[in-house]
Amino acid sequence: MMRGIAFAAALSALMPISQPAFAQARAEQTARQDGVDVERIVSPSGIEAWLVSDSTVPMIVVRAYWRGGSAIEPDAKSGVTGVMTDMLTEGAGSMDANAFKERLEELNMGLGFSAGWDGVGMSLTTLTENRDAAFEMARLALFEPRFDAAPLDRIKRQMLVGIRTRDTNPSYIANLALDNALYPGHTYARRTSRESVVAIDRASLIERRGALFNRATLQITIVGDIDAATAGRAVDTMFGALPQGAAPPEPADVTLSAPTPLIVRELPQPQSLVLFAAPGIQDEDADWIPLAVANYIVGGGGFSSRLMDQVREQRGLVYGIGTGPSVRDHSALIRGSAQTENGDVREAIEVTRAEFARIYNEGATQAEVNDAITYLTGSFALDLDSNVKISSVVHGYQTAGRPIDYINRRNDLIRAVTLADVNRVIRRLYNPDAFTFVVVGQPEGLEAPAAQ
Amino acid sequence: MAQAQEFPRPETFTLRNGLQVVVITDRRAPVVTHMLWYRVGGADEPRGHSGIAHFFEHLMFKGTREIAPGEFSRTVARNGGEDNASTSWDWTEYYERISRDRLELVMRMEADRMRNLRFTDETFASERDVIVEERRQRIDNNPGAVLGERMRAMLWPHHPYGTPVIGWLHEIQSLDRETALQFYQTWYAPNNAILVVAGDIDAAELRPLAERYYGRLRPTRNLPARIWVSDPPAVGPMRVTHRDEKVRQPSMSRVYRSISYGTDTGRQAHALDVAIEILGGSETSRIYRALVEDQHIAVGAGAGATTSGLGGGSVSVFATPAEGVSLEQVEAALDAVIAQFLREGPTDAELARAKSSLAAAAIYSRDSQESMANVYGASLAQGESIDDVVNWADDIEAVTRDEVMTMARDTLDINDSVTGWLLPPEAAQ
Repeated sequence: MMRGIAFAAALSALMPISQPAFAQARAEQTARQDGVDVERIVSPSGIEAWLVSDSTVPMIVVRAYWRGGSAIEPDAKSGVTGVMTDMLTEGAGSMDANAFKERLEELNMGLGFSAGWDGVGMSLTTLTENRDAAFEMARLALFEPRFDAAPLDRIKRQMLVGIRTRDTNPSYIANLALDNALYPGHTYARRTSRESVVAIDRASLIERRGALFNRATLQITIVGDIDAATAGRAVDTMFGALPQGAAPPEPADVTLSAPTPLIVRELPQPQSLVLFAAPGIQDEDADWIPLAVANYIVGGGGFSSRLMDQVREQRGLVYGIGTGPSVRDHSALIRGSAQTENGDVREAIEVTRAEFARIYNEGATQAEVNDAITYLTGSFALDLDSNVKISSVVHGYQTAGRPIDYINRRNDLIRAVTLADVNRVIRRLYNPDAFTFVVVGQPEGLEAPAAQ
Repeated sequence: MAQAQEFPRPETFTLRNGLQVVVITDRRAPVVTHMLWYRVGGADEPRGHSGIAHFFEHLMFKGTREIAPGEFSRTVARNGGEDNASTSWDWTEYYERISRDRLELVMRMEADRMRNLRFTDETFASERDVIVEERRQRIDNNPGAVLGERMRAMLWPHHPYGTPVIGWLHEIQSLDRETALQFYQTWYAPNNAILVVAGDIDAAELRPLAERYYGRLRPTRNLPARIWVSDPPAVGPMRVTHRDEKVRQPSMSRVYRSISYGTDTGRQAHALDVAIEILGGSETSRIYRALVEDQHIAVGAGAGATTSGLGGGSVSVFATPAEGVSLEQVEAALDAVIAQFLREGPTDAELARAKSSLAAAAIYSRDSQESMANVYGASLAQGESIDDVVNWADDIEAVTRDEVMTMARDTLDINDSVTGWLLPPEAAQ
């Protein structure tokens, strides 16, 4: 029954798995008195990693990322990259799936691999006292996965049920409709199918593993109770046997279609889901930092944003509404979401559009910019008060191509944002006519597009 | 393999007006987590006014003489902080996370709204609409959540745990301002609250601030005892079926009534947690291995224990059949696994792994001041002591095989359970 949880959940649902960009939208420099000390280390075999060494809590977090994800997998085997990363912890070396998982439990450790559109990642958490055995488990998963038939068949059975149930999942329906409206035919609009799942076999797992895991694009962050020399040796234990390799091919950049009239997908439920999106910018764009401030004011600032104030607080139309930049390697959007009773959908969309129009025409105020800067700079320390959170922020910067000391410079960049910067970004990115709206549910009174 | 590591013991003191204070020092970052836990929740609502505890949690953001409506969260954000709140059957909790040097600001505001809340009729009505949307989003849009709500109501036909925290829709829609205010004036008081502050601070630093901001608040005289009605004895296995157009994949679950850390003696709740972890807590558990990996009749299956309640707990088991497998088949297989477990008990290796997995959660929570504050706040609000929390991992380690079997046999009794089936409409099958 958390008052704001739906808002957080709605936004995170929009964010691609391996996408660090949103974290950056909120993430400024550290407010620690002495900053977060991120050290560049190089392992004996020549692999670079970023290290934050802190022995306060006897635990270590390791995160690794390789470019190349589901966007470049073969059409006919859509889903294979995610199955491959799942299968890395379904048995390795002499351990079958069950023995491998039992060993992880005995070691009190966490180990997982995941696939996003643009890359694949590894996350490991271990207690200091078990660290060598934990690093060995990661090595086994990465280099000696068994890809046994039994767990592969199980995962495919689970995916087939998922394919059937997604047809009544409002979030799935809305995101697919939005993808097909904004970039039809692009690989980011692709989904798994019964045929593609059935076609995933052991050979295709071996092929994807070989294609994606190498030294060429590997980026590693280590945080916690470990010194530089030990961390270097650990890197070689886990990743030393990777071939140099080369960066995988990249998909084409998205060309966004013009905004469409309101899209409605019928689903029998009392409340509708509303998603909306407009063209955004990449995180290397010069306006990226001003966008963080602008978005906070419009719809990113929790209870303080204009949308939350007008749609929830003033009118009681929703439990949560929010916006945020959504960046993949080859697309950039401003996205938002809300959920409201079927009878109120029209009004909720009208108020949202009116708020976009108001800020687009009149701009933000200096007071709003000041408040946004105070929040964005002041709250950054809240994102850095545990090893797990530090590893997430630092690894996000690393994979986004930021310099190693970015974490300690970010607040200065935010503080330099002016009202003129914010209003320029609003004119560029919050044009109400640039947004495409999708509604899933049984909305009332939308026969004539509410948008116009 | 991993010994349960020593869990940090917080400092504690109590103000003269009865406010209990807990301080958890973690100086890694110059921030604090400031939480106020009230010993009141959905289970304390007057009959016919379900949802009022949660409703009040929302109203607490609507202002006082000093703070205009909506300004509470805006002020926290303007100072670089975050705030929120949540409600359960047993407690209502408010928190702010903020830079250490802004702690006094949030203490002043949090203390102010403990006794001085003010809101208009319009605010009350508008927030009621927000909560109706929250209910639709959490429950009414989701056939599984609708079924779960009804199963709870059958499992606790009279005890207040059978009423949803968010409230029944018709009662939310008729909640009135006077009942809400009376609820507030009774329960929101220093002698019914626990202040937990974690982060860059210790008790010597916090005590004068706690005295200054909370010390002058008057306690509620004759604070009501939290005595809840109890259920009549179970009358045998109960079953319920819910059908909805949105269901594409049938599934089943069963809930059993159980003891909790708030109602048990000795290590009973610990033993039950270990038992359910072995039975269905992971992908190496009995249920998952049998139904999903060995028999291939389910795509998901497991069990979970909710043992944290002040007034009792529950255990659930669940399964989602694979394509072409009926719910009858999967439920029969689930029953067979439970029966075998109750007959044979766990192996030594299962026992050790389950304890290790449970202990890991406690060990890793040390990494987060927020988690530590949550653990202590919730535990105290649910009738446990600081010692219970500090010793938890050791007590888990001490659980014996016999204790596990006793609790499993006492709890997994089909005669004190509700089984629910979630299905598509009949025509669609």
